[in-house]
Amino acid sequence: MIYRSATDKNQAYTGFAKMLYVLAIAAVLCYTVPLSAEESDLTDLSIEDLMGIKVTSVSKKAQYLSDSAAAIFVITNEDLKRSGVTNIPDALRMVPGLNVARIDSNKWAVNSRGATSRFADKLLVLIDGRSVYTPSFSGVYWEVQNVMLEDVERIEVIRGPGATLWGANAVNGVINIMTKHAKETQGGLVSLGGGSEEQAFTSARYGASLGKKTYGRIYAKGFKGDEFQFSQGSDAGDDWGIRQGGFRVESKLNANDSVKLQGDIYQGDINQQVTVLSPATPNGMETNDDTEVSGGNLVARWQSILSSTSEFSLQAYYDRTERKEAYVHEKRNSFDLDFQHQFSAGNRHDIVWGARYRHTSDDFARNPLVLIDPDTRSDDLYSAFIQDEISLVQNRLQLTLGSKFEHNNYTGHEIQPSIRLLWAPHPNHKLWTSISRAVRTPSRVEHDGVIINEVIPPSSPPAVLPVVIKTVGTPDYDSEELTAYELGYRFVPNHTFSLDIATFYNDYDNARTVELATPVFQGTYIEQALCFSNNFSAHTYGVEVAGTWQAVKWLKLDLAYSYLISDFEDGAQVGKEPTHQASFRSALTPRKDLDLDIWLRYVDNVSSIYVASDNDRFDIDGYLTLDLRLAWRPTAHWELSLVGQNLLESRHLEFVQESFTRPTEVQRGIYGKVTYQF
Amino acid sequence: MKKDTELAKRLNRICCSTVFLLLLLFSTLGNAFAFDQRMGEYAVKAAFVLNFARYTQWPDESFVSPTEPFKLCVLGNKAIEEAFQTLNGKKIESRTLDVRFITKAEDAAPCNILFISEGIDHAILLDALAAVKGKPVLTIGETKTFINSGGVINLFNRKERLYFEINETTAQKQHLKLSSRLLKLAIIVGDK
Repeated sequence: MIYRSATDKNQAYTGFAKMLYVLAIAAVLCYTVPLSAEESDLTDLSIEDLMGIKVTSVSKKAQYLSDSAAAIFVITNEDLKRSGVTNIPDALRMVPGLNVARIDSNKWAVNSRGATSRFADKLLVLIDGRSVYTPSFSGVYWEVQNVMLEDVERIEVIRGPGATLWGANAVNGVINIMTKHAKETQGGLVSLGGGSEEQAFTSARYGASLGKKTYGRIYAKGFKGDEFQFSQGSDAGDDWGIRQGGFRVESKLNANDSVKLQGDIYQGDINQQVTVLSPATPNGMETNDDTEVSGGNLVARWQSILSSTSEFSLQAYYDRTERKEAYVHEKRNSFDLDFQHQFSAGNRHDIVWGARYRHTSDDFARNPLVLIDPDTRSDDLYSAFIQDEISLVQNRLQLTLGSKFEHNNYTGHEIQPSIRLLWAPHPNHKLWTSISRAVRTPSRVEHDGVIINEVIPPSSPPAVLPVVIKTVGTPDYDSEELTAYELGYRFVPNHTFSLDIATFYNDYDNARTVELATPVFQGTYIEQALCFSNNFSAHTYGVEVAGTWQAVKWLKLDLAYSYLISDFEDGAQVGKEPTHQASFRSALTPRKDLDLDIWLRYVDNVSSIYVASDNDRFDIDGYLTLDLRLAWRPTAHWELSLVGQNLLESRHLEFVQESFTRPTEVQRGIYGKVTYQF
Repeated sequence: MKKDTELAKRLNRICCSTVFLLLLLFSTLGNAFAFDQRMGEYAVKAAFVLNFARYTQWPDESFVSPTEPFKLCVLGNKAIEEAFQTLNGKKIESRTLDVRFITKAEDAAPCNILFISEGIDHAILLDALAAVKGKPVLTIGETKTFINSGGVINLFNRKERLYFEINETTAQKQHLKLSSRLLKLAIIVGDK
């Protein structure tokens, strides 16, 4: 609370020093807890027990990371815990190549290898195999993706196209959030916390065995986030809260088959100040909007292992979301059926193929700000893919060929092939390269939407009437296309050190622009339409570096650096990307019961598209910020932690949403958390 | 210019505080660490091998006396030796397990159990399997081609858990009888 009012530099420094002092005292007060070094003899265990043991994947993980011919980064459960983040998008800041900015207390803009946007539309996000990418605007509502972080197994982030396996819209990257197997979350966990920005949050989970080979868990979480401040200093009115609950049950039917059923349900209230534009209020009318969000999903999966070289899975899910805000009221129901089969053909070929059917139907309420016409629409997507991983020279040279073939209702057939080559001149050194094609299919808004962007007030003649500028969807709007060229190098000498360098050159074609249409006289105002069209091309290129060093058992250092350049044609209608970004994390465990984590981040200056400014742009300064976390586990059951976020400034601006809201700054925050496990 | 000095100040502040905190924490350093709660893959695999031995019946002629030691041969790299060494001296009914580490395919013939690890050259693997073909030797491997090459049991990893597949026909040809308990837990492959 102290820090929120600490706007003055000196005062801010005093606040910071005070916090350090508190941390120091806390550190001194901690005492060592003796370790219970129990080591059971594995040879006394039965086969059933052995089959249940999770085996070390030190080599497996290293192999997993270093054997893929793609730019992949994995956030582990430990990384999530040690970072002190309370949501997924903030965790993604540790990934090189990703561009994460918080727009206000309850909105994020996330993109990969490009300028970000609240409506970033080329990133595919999956939670346990369920796509959370919305076809309405081809983006992700990050604020409603509230998985229970304690139960996340890992988050895999693939930068660059993943369309061959994942399909259209996996253009700039794929984010795969995977929660733990129900067997891994046995017992109870209760956590409770609160602070200046993360005002109050709680989560609880209980997992139990439901019979001999069946495990389940249920969880519930809720939080209340404080409002941020507008750049001018007044409160932004963007406080919010979401409540979510869910379950996961999985059962092993026999040696070969296992089934899983999981589901979530959520409901939330998100406050925001929306600038409502109309011919009558050309300067916009600030409205306190109470957005209501809700949704739920149910996922069923059957997996069958036929042999060490063959397995298949069948997954079906239903997902429902509803969002009611000042400028849009949308309901959406989706059904998705997916089959995948993986097998080895001979010694050299590892083949994976699959087929998917997806049905989605929506219902939009008529709204003067964002009109979707027709209000309801149902779409079907059919797709199939095949990929062959060919071992040209055993453990040395591997070629991966594949393509996705799909049919959608907007653009018809789409083919998205890729070719990848991995060369290991030495087991510790790997080089990879790829060429791939991906498309971003039109969103509902680009096809059927009419959005009021801006109202120019009447001035002296000749313009005596207000001009209403609208962005208008067009039925012949086509897919945006990307051809990506990538080259990467990995050095993994042992499991304590890894260095990953990825470079890319992206060639975008048919990219989105808006074109001026002929103005239309509408009686009391003049309507100027801007029609979506595909008249733009761009090149982006960059380098991403990720290094991890487990220096000693009690100190792990992680460095991520990204360099990104966009080369646009004149008249680009996209924001400017941060040229340099860096993240440095230090996870120190001075004693087994004590964690100290430091996370420094730097993001270069950017500019975002902002319709309310004179040149349609808003320049944002670069920023350097610091998060700290101190945790103490007095017993095996309890953990107390104290986290400071964005400590270096009382507030800073990260991004401005294109329209409807005003520049809102992220504030320094501090929170405490107690976790009890049993 | 102003921004630069501010940045410098900020960096200075971070450095000072980081050093301070590090010093403080180093001074309270404890001495014990136990990080990896998960089990080493080969420690678990070795325990599997012991269980496979317990649930397999060898023909009487395999042993001269009821107390003759049980020979487990491990054909693999140095890295897995430690895990298998722990099996040495373990009891299987009245017999003691005698673990040997071999490097040549020819040495496989007198074994009762032969474990071939994944790092082994494919040609050596084939030679070793040929050397024991039709003999009462339980062959256990961990490569995807192991069963097709004529192995009996193959261990494999899926989502960080171990599974095993068994080719019953090969087991019969090796004159081995696998217990129904083992077969129930295995993924049965090959001709049924």
